Amino acid sequence: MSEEDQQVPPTEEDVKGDNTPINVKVVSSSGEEVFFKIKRSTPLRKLLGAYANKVGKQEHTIRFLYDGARVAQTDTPKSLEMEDNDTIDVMVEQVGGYSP
Amino acid sequence: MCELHFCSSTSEENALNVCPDRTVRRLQSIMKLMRLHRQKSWKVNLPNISIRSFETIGTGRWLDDEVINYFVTKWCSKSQTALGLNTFFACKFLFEGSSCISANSVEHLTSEHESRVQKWCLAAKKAQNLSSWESVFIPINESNSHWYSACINFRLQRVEIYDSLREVYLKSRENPVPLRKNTKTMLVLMWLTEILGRMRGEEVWLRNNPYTTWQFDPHAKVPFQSNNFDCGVHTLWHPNMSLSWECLDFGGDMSGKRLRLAQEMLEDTQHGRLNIPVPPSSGKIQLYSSAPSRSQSRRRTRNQTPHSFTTTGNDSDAAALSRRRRRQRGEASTANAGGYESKKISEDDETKQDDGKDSEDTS
Repeated sequence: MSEEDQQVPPTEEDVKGDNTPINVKVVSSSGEEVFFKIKRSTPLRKLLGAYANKVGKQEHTIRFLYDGARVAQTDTPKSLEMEDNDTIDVMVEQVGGYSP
Repeated sequence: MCELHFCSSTSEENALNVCPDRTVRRLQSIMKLMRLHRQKSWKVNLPNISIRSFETIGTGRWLDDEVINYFVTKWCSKSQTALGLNTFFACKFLFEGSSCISANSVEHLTSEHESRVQKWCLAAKKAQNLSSWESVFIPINESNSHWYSACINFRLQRVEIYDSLREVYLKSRENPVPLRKNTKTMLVLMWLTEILGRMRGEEVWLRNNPYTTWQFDPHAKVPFQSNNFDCGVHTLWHPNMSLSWECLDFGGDMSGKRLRLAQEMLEDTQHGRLNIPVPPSSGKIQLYSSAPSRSQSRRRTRNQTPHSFTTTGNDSDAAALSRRRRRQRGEASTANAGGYESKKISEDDETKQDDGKDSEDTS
């Protein structure tokens, strides 16, 4: 179980509004946790990019879910009304056709 | 209750399978066109659906989670009676680990799990814009290689697991109940049903209750897949059975179903909820490899959203496009359906357009 603080690079949007950073825990299906600090107006796709980079996976194979709802490209912690120390579930691409 | 059907009628589905070769060719030409679009960075502009996911609908491909989730959400929303959970629910709550091989022991599930299950269900309900539901559909991905599903039906008081693999069905039926593949999964589904019952305001007591009126079938009889790639398509058609409560005959060739999925997704791309740029049209691929009847086709074109879409082999060519449109206007046979030009062209024409030389981008 790895536990690290990752800083998502700030963007221009960070300047606007209530922008105090919050801590977000990204939990994989196997229970591994990675902690990020992210400003409330930063799009979560940046977090996804940072996470993919961190775990060495391609972005398009990773799905973020917040309370079971898929996190959209444009969602931010603010738009999802996320609170400090909230958890994002990360799942990976699934395919299926046949089980030998 | 036919209104519970997620999809269009079985006769339409069967029509697609009358000439499977032609259906497969249609599907292949769609995928070919999409590959060309991909090179030009044109995207299927639907939530979470990339060209990469779309291409998994092609003949012989394994469907991915995005396609399954897209149609489960869409069709459940349309049904207004079924709550469709996403493909990650099962591995999050019902099984140990993401491979969905070994079901969770109910003893290890806590009230914390219950509150998270409720949140996930509420998220699905919100996404599908449901005011209430009477059944819950759960797609399951096993070891990143196989799709099957479970359905909990409160109206009929039944919990069933559907698997399109003949071997699994036959082998499990031979075994005594404790040794059947899905017996442990059924136990955790009972736990889930009790939680869902509480969400509906009903007292449902299933575990250790020999007097329950509910029925359980961990290996319900469903059509079997005839190949090693169609389980995802079968899984998408399982809710039809669980809701209408009849064993639909959709086994064998699933190319018609795949073509339908591709067509529906492309229609959603063009007419959909999002503000989607319509690719300049020139080519049309018909949904029906073999139309049920001429009068039916005419009626459809006149009255409804056509079950057809317009797309092009070369959408990047504004000059050629306007030339083509001028040419089309000059032809008496041009039809205009749903606001899109739906000039019917032969497959030879598609090939010619694919080879277009112009390079000006319109998108």
